[in-house]
Amino acid sequence: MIKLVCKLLLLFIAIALTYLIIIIGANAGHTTGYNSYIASIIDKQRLLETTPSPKIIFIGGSNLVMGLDSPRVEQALGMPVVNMGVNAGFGLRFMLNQVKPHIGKGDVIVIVPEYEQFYGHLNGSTTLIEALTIFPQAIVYLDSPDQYAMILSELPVFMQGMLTNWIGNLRPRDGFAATRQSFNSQGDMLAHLDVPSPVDISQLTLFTEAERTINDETIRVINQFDTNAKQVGAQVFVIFPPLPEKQARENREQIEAIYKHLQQQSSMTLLGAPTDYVFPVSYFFDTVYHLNRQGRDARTEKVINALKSAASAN
Amino acid sequence: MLFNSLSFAFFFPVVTIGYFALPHRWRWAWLLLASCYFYMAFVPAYILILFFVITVDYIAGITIEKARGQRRKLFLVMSLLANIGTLALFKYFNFLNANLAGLADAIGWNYPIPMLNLILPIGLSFHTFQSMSYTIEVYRGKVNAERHPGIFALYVMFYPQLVAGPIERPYNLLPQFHREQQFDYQRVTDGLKLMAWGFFKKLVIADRIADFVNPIYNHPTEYQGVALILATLMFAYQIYCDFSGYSDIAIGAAQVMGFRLMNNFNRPYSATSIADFWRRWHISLSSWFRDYLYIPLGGNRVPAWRHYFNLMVVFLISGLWHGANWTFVIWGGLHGLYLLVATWTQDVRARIAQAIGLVRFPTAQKILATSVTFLLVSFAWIFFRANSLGDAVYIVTHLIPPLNLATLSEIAFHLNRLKVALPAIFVLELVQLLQNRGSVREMLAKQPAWVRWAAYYALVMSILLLGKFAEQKFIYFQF
Repeated sequence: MIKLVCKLLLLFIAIALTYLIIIIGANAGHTTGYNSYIASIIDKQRLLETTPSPKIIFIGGSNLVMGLDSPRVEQALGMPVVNMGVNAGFGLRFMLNQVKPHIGKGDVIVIVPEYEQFYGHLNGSTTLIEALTIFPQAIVYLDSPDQYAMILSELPVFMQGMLTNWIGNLRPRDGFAATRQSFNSQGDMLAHLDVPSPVDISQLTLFTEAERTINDETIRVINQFDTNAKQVGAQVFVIFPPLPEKQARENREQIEAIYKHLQQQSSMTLLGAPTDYVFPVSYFFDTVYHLNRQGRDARTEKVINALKSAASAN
Repeated sequence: MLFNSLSFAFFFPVVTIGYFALPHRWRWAWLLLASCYFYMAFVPAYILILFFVITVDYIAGITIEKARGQRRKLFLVMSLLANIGTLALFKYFNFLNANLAGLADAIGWNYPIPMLNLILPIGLSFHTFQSMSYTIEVYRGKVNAERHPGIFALYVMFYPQLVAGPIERPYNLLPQFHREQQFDYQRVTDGLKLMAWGFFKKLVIADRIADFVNPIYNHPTEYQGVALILATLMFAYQIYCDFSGYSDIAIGAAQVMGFRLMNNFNRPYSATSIADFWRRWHISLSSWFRDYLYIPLGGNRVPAWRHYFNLMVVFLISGLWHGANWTFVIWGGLHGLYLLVATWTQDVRARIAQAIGLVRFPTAQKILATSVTFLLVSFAWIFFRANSLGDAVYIVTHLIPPLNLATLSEIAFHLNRLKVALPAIFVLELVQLLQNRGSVREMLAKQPAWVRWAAYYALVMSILLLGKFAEQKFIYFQF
């Protein structure tokens, strides 16, 4: 038995070493590792910790990175803004846990979850593992066995991605590549604003076949976050992410179901309806959630108005 | 629970360590508990069906053994009817009902029987067949009725082979549950290596090929020629690696705990005839049909017409066993037809081979026979994989590609999408070629340590870095 355990341990070490080499190789590129888009989590964490309350914190995925003009929000509402958006693949649970310890009295927290968070993305995906390899301190924001289960089950897929990245690092890259340097001091991405859309947005789909049953756990996690924030003296709002007209039309029933579910089950104020954030396809950059300059301006305007209305209502 | 799931990665070591840690008298209970948990991970309520089958056949075994004369047969028939009835209700009722309704509609009759809203319990055909083999063998007097209800339940439910076989025989498996199994390093490591090889087949070959085959077979009318041919040939490897991969994992997992399950595959695509193919493919099922249907029908010791009839019946039922759909029946029928044609043309083919001098080149003759068998089997897979009879007919009628340069570039395009699967198939074929010379594990055992470790490391890393980790179900689970 001991012989077997020793040999299995040896095999495990060999696998771990191989994984380590792949991660080092993959993260050594000009647009990977500490230079990568995902590494912006480090800067955002610092921003979150150093911005004094009362402040406005936006929580969500990349719809916030490529779709919000934080300086404009700051100017319009007179409060410092922290845009915590990086990637929906972190999972809403992680995003909320990251912000939770840094909420102060008078803070306004705006959650803008991508619609997938209400299906399978609550616990994140390989992107969260990538973030943990770059910013291991973030492990403190994993508080659920489901997150660890996700990491374990997605680890091989993540490593395959890393291997692909490593091979990719050896070749010259074309086109737009977002990096850690593409952000402004509040966490918004600027580098893409004037780049023409590299894809035909109208061909993109929103939900997969598997995304059909709403995950009640997402609502429970959001409500729990709301309770904690209220105890500290902060306000929490939910705003819906931007969507192109075509995808909004095609997925109307599912989006409506999420909206109704949130209305009935969540304790937070919903600022507007999903239809308020539907924009022409020409406003989008490379995914159904990423806005170009025109789209970002229009969306920011709507967010400012929604927050102003909420402030006057209070 | 799927073998290729995170849950199984925890389940397997926990169950195995628990098994060896417990005294022999409690091991059956531990394995039974684990098997229940394993099955209930799919649809918990369906364990009641298993309990029904187990209860009926446990009682049937004892009553058959005690009974004398015609009563023995009566109890056997009652038990078989209960098993087949369960299978018929969950698997074939709606199929039969839909066909009767269609027939009634065609002749203008009103057909009032509604469809049942039932989901087919995973692996139902496997465990009912395994359970039936027990009562039949008790009736034949080849095994004694099992008195221990827990061990009998374990015979039907043993988790490694519960949902997709191998379909075990009572004389092989039941005594093993009574014997105390000791921890044996060599046997445990051999079992683990077999499991790793099974995972390689499933994750690196079958599931990677699935990404290529599924879009084509799910929308066949959007394709023709090269795409359909490649998808069909690739499906032959997909289903082989999916199912034999499952069998390897099942046999390996059982072996780790000291149980020897029957072999289910023996390099089926190296078969030189369809009859040879069926001696190598899904051996536990084909031998089940041979022992419990073909031979009782008279086998080949009957007049020629009756022999042909027996063959066709067995293959049509074998097709139906796989699924309640005409595509499966045609698949089985095609194999039956292949065998009949092979029997009828045996002399003619021998004379042709003699006349053209092929007999002087036995290797070439073998390659030709193997290739033809593979193509015939692959052609039949079209009906097995197609989602409907209409799809199958479309594929069969659109297989021939135009002979031009565009076809070549289309081949290159599709092959590019198989850049993981094709080298993996090459490795599979290489290993199988080595298996011709004996056990690959034994060959490896004779190599220096660094060669062995390099091979194991390469196998594990290729699974981890090239495998598809999307927890895709095994194809044979649906049966």
